[in-house]
Amino acid sequence: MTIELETGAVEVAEGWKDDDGFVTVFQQGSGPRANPKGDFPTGPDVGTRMPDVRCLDSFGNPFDLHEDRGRRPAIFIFQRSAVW
Amino acid sequence: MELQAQIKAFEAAGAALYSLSYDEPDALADFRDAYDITYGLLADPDSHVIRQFGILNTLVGEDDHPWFGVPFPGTYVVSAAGVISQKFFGKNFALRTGPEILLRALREESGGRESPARERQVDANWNVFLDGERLIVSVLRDLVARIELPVGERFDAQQTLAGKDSFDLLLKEHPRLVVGDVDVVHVNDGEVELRVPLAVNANLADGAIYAQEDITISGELRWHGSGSDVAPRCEKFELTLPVGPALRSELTTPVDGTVVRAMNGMQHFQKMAARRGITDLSKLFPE
Repeated sequence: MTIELETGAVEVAEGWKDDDGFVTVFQQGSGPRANPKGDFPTGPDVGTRMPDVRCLDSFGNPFDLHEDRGRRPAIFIFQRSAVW
Repeated sequence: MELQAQIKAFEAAGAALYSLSYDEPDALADFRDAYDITYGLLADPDSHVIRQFGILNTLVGEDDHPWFGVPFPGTYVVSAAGVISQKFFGKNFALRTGPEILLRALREESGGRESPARERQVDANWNVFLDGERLIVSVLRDLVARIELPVGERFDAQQTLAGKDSFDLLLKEHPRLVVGDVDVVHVNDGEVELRVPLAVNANLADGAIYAQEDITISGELRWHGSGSDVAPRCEKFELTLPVGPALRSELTTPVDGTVVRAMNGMQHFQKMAARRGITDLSKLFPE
């Protein structure tokens, strides 16, 4: 899939404003504002099994998604950063 | 912050809640403590899980550190059996799916979208409301419109399939309003629910970014039930919604109307940059 970069932004006093009215110091099209213009990959399809997720948690302990959720439904969010 | 505010609702739905980012565990620990997070925060600093899912943001240059390694942000709804039942991914990464939309996905997961018909009235009933208490910058919440047709009328699902919509929700443009696509739910043949996700941006409102003034939304709800001699209806509405404070990173310039809590943000940012070979942070930020 060829993903196109969104570069349209308007310069304002406080930085750069995108089409939806969000303003940051970073111009659209690089770093934290590298957003897609059209379609982009969204991972495994609806209807397929949620992949195994094994990583560390915020306590530094090993985490396993299916094991941790047990028989509960789950909401799994991919975020960019809690720091920036 | 908005997710944590609804934690009891997620627990009542019997659902587990997780958020994964490319932050390191100790950064997430500080975030957790600063914002009293009780749901699962997961660390993927080398983007292994992000890559495994195929959602590494490849629009970020491989050498564009420390930004390279982030995912295309989005949310998966996982059923009790471990299957992905819905997912939410949007093009503007400033927007996040709000907790109410996720809670609704969980309800649909367990109970489906249909509900038994209520006793019909002589006149049509309609209502427009926000599924949530207020609007917060970047958090998507549904504006919900419900139409209950009177006795003798019904919504023809076939009409909709043929491309002739029997209902429409139109919102007037507002510089602070970000509007998504309308989603139609046939509750039953006499009742329809339309949902459109909204968020407020940090657009200049009388010169103040992140202004917390209420925002007034106006629009029209139109519908046309099938039945003999049924006239189309058009109802105008106006809703004033409170705007709440947005959560903002410690790294950004302080701005009125936002919530920022100390979490050793600069230290963690320096560490994640150093991990990727960047020691001069001044070069990261525009003049």
